[in-house]
This record gives sequence, structure tokens and C-alpha cells, in this order.
Amino acid sequence: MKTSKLLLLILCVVQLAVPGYMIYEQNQILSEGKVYKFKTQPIDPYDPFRGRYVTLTYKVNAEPVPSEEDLRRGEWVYALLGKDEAGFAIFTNLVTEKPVSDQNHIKLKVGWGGSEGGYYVEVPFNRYYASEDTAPKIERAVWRRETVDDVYAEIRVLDGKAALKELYVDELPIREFIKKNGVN
Amino acid sequence: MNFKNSRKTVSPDQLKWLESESELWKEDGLIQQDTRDKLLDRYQKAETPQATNQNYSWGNILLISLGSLLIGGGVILLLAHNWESFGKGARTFLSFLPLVLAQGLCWYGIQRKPNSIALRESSAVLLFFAVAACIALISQTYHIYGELERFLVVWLLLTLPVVYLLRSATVLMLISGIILWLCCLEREPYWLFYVALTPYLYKLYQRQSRLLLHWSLWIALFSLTISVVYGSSYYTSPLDNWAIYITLAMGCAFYALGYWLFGLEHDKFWSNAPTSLGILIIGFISLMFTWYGRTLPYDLWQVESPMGFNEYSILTLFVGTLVFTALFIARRYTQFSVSHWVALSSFAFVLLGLVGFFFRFNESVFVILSNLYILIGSVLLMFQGINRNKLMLLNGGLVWFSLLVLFRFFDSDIPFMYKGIIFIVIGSAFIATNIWFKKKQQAKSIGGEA
Repeated sequence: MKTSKLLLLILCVVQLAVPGYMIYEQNQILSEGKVYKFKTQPIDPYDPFRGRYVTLTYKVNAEPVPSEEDLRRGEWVYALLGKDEAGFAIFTNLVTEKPVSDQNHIKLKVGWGGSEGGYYVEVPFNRYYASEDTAPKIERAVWRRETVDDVYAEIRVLDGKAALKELYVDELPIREFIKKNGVN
Repeated sequence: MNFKNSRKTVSPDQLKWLESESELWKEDGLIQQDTRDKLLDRYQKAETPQATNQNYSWGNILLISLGSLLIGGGVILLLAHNWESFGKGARTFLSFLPLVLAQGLCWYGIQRKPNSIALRESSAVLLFFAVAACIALISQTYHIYGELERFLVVWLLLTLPVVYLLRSATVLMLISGIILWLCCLEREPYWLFYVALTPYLYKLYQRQSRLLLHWSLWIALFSLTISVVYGSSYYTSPLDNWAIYITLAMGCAFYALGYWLFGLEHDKFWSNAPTSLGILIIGFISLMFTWYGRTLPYDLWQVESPMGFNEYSILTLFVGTLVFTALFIARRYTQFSVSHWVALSSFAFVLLGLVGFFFRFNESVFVILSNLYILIGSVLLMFQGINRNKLMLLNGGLVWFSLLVLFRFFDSDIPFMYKGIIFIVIGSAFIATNIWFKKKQQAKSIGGEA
């Protein structure tokens, strides 16, 4: 009985520690990570457990990323980060060995493709959670626009891990934008 | 007399049996009244603590668990609402609150009311959902990414020990359900999580908690089958050509496992999950063999995708099923009835597949043999059903036979009129056989009474 009580206590601690560590890690990336802006287009789906969110389809999702290596679908790789002329984030290369230099990178999964034409990648930070009221408004705010050039997600990157900080439209955080423009 | 090691827990059924048997022993003069009392006392004493503390019937516990389940679901929905106005700090506090409360309730149950099954079950179910709610809300508040698969795995890992520590039957079923979900979701060997539940299932087997054991076995074996089929039989899988043999070997092993666990005479459909599922797999796969166009296992490793952990796990399982089935047949074949032989002779197709890989058989060998196998096997089953007075065997044979006829008949270009007639004939045969069999049974029972 004593052992099972001790084990239950350990289990309780672990159950609290796991979400606790999730918060710690996310906060560390948000406070210490380097800022990248990813062009995106949000749409509004639903998760039975985590509620309403907007799926972020990034511009970097739409174009294959070059790589000299022969990669398999579903393989974990390091995507090297760079910036285009407008200052938005792009993936410059995919490598299987973790970069040792200061080169910023994100660990992600490879999708379809080949070493000649490049590979499509699965960008992991593709969810922006919002309430049942706000999520459809975010979608409407973006879909009303003729272009989505001014919609981007601010992502912080630290040691291969990325965290979504905020979603911006016209340089305004999405909720402020909705408030200011009276999106219903 | 030393009673130190005699406190044995027995089920009410076992106790009832002992009471009636010992009465007979007494009548036959084998034992005296006081010996009988001592014997019964010895078992009754062990039974008492469990019985008196179990103030709730299983029906009550089920309802309490259902209540907890609904409350747990409600908590998740409330949190999924996303309370934007609360701010990060308050939302973090709110996400940990149900978890801490559920943990507190579990602790209270173990500390103060260790014998209350109702409290243990309900607190365990609440804890199970509180863990999910906490991770979900933290992910939501901090925009932590991760697909459903990762979420389910973390949830599973954090709640699996609850089954052992709180001995909760409801959580066992919920955990089995999550593993099933994962098996259907991803081509990964998530069935391996059932290995972690095996000691608990073995304990249930020892304690004769058969109802829970049967349902757990159904879910576990069903998940295993789905995972193996889904993880091996798809176009680019390196095991695609082998999937049919692996599945059939698994069916044979399930069939053998059921009889190994519960005895060769135990052939109730629901309460012998391994054997029943094994029969369904054998019946279905043997029918698949009767078609042309099924790929023979010529190229072992396809080039499209290399072997991974999933493939190696499935191959290990394949070897395990081969060895287990072969050993079962070698050790028990003297006790086999005709129906056992019919089911287990399908194992020959697995061996034929393995040999065929080296010798490159013509596909007709499989097609002809499998058609013959089902034809002979189904007729033998029907005869067995009639001789042994077992309607299930008779109907099983009939279904198998009819499916063979229907499948053959869809192979060729037969006009609709003939197809219609065959449907009517098979349907009538089913009804007529069942009515005839029932009448035969009734006549027998009347004859027996007279």
C-alpha cells in the first residue's frame, strides 16, 4: 500500500510537471528566440479537445525547399532559415545533420518531393488558438482581403524549436485588427 | 492446523460451487459436518472483506463512471471554449485546477476510503480527463503546436499508470480505446502499448474477472489487427506483398491463443475473443485467397519505402505468431475436433506462401487450393454442427460456403436473372436449414424428456 501511494504521488508530480515543462519551454523560446515573420493565410477549423483554432497555411508551405540530400517522406530534418527581400522568412535548405554554427533552423518533417525539384515540408506551428467567437472572425478578416500579403505570423526560433508569438494583419495583432475594423 | 496461507479470495460462483459440492461430499460420507464448515469458513473469511466493502453493485459503479465521464467531457468542453478574456495567468491556473482536484480526490480515495470502488473508479476517470484537459488548455493558451497523435501519446503515457495504481476498470477501457484510436490513426506499432497492459490483463485472468478481461481482449486484439493490416497493406509498404500472410498467421495465432487460455472446449463467441476474432480473420482471408490477382510474395522489400520500426515490429509479430501456432498444433493436435482442424489447416496457406516465395508457385495453386479448402471446410463444419447439435457451427459453415459461392459468382459475367435466383436459393437454404435444425433440436429435447 505504501509503495502504491508513493507511486501515485510520483505520477501526480509527473502529470503536473509535463504541462509545466511545456509552458517553460514555450516561454523560453518566446523570450530568447530570434524573430521571424512567416507569411500566412489562416482558415478556421476545430479540434474536439483543444477547441477552435485557425490553421495557418504558410507561403513556405507552397514552395518546395531545395536539398542536396536524398530525403524520405516523414523524415525529420533541419530547415535552415533565411529572409527574402521583403524581410519574410524562407527556408533555404534542408539538412539531416543538426547545424553546428549560429545558423538558425527549425526541426520539421519532410513531405513529398525529390532532391532535384526540392521537398515540400510540414510546418509544425500551424495553429493559432482562438475562442469560438474570434476564430471565425479571424478567418473572415483575412478572406475579405484581396491579397494576403500583409498577413503574417511572428515566430520565435531557438535551437531548432519554434513558437508562435502573434498573428498580424496590417502590422496589427489580429485581435486589435478585428476590434479596429469591426469585423463581425 | 495452520491457516496462515489459507485466506484465499474466491468468486461468488466458486463459493456457491464449493457449498453444493461439499454438501454432496458430506452426504457421501467423505467429510463430516464440522470439516465442511471449516472448509467453507476458510473461503468465506477471505471473501468477506471484499464483499462488505463493496457497497455498490457493478451497475452502480458503471453509472458513477458514466457520470464522471460526462463531467470529464464537460470540463474539456468548458476549457475548449477558450476563455480569452481571462488572460494567460488565470487560464494557466484554470487548466491546472481540474488536474489538481482530480489528483486530490484520487489521493483521498486511496488514503481514506481504500475499499470504496465507486470513489476509486470515479476519481480515476476524472483524473484521466483532467490530464487531457490540462495539456489541451496549456497548448491552447500558449499556442504550443503538436498533432493529435502526439497529444494522444502524451495523454496515454500520463494516464496509463492509473490503471495499475487505482485498479480502475473504466480507465482500462478508456486507455484501450485511446490505443485503438492511435492504431487507426497512424501507421506505427502503437499496439505495443498493450504490452504495458498485459500484466493487468493477466491479473484479471487469474482473478477470474472474466467480463472485463473479455472486453479488454476484444479491443486489444481488434486494435492489433487494424494496426498490422493498416501498417503493412498499402501501396508503398515494403510488406505489402506479405500483408495477407501476416494477417492470416495472426488469425491462426489468435485462434490458438483463445483455446490455450480458456481451454479447447470453450467456444462461446463473446467470451473467447481471441478464438472468435481468429475465426473471422481466417474465414475472411481464406476467401481472399480464392481470387486471382492477389500479389504473391515475390519481392520481399519494395523499393518505395525502406523498412522502419513499424515494419520490423510487424515482422517480429509474424515470426511470433508462426512459432506460437506451430507449437500449439504440435502440442494439442491429439485433442483437436474436426472444427479445430478446419480452422487451423488454413495455417498451411501461410507456410505455402513462405515456400512459394523461394520456389515461385503459380498463383493457380493458391486459388485452387483455397477454393477446395473452403468447400471441404464449410461442408465439414455444417456436418459437425448437425452432429454435435451446434447451431453456431452449422451457420458458420453455411455463411462460409455461401460467401464462396457468391464470390465465385461475381467473378464471371452471369446475367442478373441467374444472380437473383442464386440469392433467393441461398437465402431460402439459410432459413430452411435453421428451421429444420430448430425442429430437430426440439424433437430431441421432447424425446429426451419422454
